[in-house]
Amino acid sequence: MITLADLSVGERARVVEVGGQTGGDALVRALLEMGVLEGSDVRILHEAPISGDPIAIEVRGALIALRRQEARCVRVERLDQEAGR
Amino acid sequence: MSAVRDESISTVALVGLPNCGKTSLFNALTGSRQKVANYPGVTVERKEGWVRLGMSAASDNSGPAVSQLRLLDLPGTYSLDSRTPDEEITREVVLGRHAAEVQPQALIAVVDATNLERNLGLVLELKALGLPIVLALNMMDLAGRRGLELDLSVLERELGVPVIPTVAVKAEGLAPLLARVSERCAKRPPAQCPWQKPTAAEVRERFARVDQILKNCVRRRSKPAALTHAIDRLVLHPVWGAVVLLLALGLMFQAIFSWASIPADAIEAGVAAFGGWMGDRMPEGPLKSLLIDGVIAGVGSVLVFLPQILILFAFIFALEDSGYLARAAFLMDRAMSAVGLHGRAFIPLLSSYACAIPGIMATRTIANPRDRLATILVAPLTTCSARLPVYTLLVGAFVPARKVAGVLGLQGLVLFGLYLAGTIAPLTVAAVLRRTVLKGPKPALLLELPTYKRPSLRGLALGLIERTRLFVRRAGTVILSLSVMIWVLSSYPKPPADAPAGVPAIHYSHAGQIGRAIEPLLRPLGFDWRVGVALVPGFAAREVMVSALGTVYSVEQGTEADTSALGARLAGSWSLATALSLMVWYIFAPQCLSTLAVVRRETNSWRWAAFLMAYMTVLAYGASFVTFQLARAMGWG
Amino acid sequence: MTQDRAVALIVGAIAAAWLVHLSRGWWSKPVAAWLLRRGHVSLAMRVRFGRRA
Repeated sequence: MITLADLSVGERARVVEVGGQTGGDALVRALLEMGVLEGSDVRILHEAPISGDPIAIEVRGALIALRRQEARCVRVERLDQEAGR
Repeated sequence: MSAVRDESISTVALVGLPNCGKTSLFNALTGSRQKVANYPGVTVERKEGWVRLGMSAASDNSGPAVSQLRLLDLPGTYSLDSRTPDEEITREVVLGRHAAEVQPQALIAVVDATNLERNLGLVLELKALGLPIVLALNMMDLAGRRGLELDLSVLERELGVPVIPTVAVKAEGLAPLLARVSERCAKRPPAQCPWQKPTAAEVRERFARVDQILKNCVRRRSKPAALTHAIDRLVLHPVWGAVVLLLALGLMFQAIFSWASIPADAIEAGVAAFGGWMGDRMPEGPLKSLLIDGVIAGVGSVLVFLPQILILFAFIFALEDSGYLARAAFLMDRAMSAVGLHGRAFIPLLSSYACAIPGIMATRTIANPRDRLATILVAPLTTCSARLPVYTLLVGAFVPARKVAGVLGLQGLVLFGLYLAGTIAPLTVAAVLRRTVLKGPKPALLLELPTYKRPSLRGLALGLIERTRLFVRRAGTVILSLSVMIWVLSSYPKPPADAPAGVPAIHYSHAGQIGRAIEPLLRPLGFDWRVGVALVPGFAAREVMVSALGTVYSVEQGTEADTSALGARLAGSWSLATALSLMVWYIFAPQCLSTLAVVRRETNSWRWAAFLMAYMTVLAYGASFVTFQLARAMGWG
Repeated sequence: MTQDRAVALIVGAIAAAWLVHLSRGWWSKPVAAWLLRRGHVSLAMRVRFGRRA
């Protein structure tokens, strides 16, 4: 299973689970409240220069920036296998 | 003391997510009838304002009509389960648990119509509390343009809450909003609202309910913000993004130094003219000296900096309101993390270039207490605008107006160097602090990048007026009294009748005695008793240093303190080494009582303010010592 | 009024104002309580919490 942290710019995915071992309870609640919920579609729109961390994702109509380390507790499944990607 | 209030003035709070237009709505409703609690001496941090309503009986004739509303603009929050101190204030006020604020009798939940799926979660949470609530569906124009088609009556029915569409920036929908709110204001103070931290499952449920509601009432969803995406492709580009950031910062600092000079010169000329006019009308004597050398010179030298502070504020406001500042925090997060700070620390640190006080207060958006503390403790090291008078004075007097490599002015270069030092210093100290005294895990970023919007001119105007008011008040109180105090200490006692000629009068005054007493401590830094005299009041407020120096030298000689004249006098009395030492001292020294007071308030203890004072003094002494000794060794002493 | 006396008056007034401001922590509570007992509610709030009450 891959996580949000494994995606690269432009990829689309659907959230499968928020939580698991890597996320503390507070972080999980914060993610949920920011709209990163099971079933939400996410898309990686940007990543910071040089290090590629943090990333900016589009979810539930908003643009949220988070570090890849935080993104690791969001398990996703990739969507849209567009031709040529 | 219990919260007793006037029966005809109800308190209503505006609650909503960050960036939902809450503040625009607040401004539209209250206009200039608002107060911002910003500076030390106030127990509660809040924005409150007043709205006057038409006189009308309540629909059920049950009690006195509500004629005025007191409006609170509470900090934006994603949910009542707060992550930052800001958000906690919102929760505590809404629940009626805040010590110094009454519980609102009604809530206006402000919702961004272009983003219902995120905003409605908070509304459901608030509704569960049982307080009367009215939903202001804001930014309806934007939503309409993006294609949103919404059945308002269904939404009302599903939520069980009145829904009023509004466009805050155009002041539309305000009257119906106020009418519904005043109807629903509770006549009796409500009982304590029950609230517990929600579990993850409850949060999921809440959003599931939101989705269900939206499915029933949204006929067509709004399209995503294309303009924002387009701008972000440039602004968040791996290469161009950094370029844009540097350009923005460069423009900002350029504006502060060149654009501000015209009004600054005008103010300076005005002050000098006023002093001259007054001097012509008064006979010689202590009162004339007090007014001209003490008050006018002291306060005037500070007023000159108002244009710069306002320009800096305007820039930061525009950057923040437009939504760019969050992107800057995003771009800077990695760099900030390298020194152990949060990406969000970028904004308070940037604000500190104008003044550390609002910068320190802006740290409320940093969730983790250790991160926040680290940011608070290093913010005063940034080159705040109050240091400029001394830097300008010394650079102008001691650095020749040459050109380096035929293009860059040496003076500008040195000033830039001082600014650079004032940038490297806080970052370095932060890194050290985070590895020693404030060690701890790094907290989550989780920052929303809002859609771009045109910065509100009204908000800017209100902010500028407020800042000017606060600045002038500080000048008229703290600076004025300090200038008078310096004048008193430097003028009395007068030299005895049999004093030897050639010894300046100030030598005999209290100030002179203090200066001479601490001189042995200051001599390794290249400072003599006169600098010591000026440093003492300078500990209270940095800006006072220049007028203190002016007073020390001019009272001595009996002439007016004019900055370039003062500069020339200093150039004649001091060595380059001393000047450099003083500049370096100024980079580090904690010379602002107001900052210490704010630190005490934001950290809720004297301990950290004392720590701040101590470490900065040690740094200042050490750096100054090294600078002076090195400069002397190079032959500049 | 001589200049000396004017100076003394001004300086004295400023010093007094500062003393009142700095000692606020001590006198605002009892004064506000007294005002409250006499029924001056809004004045009491103002004394206790400053102009922003």
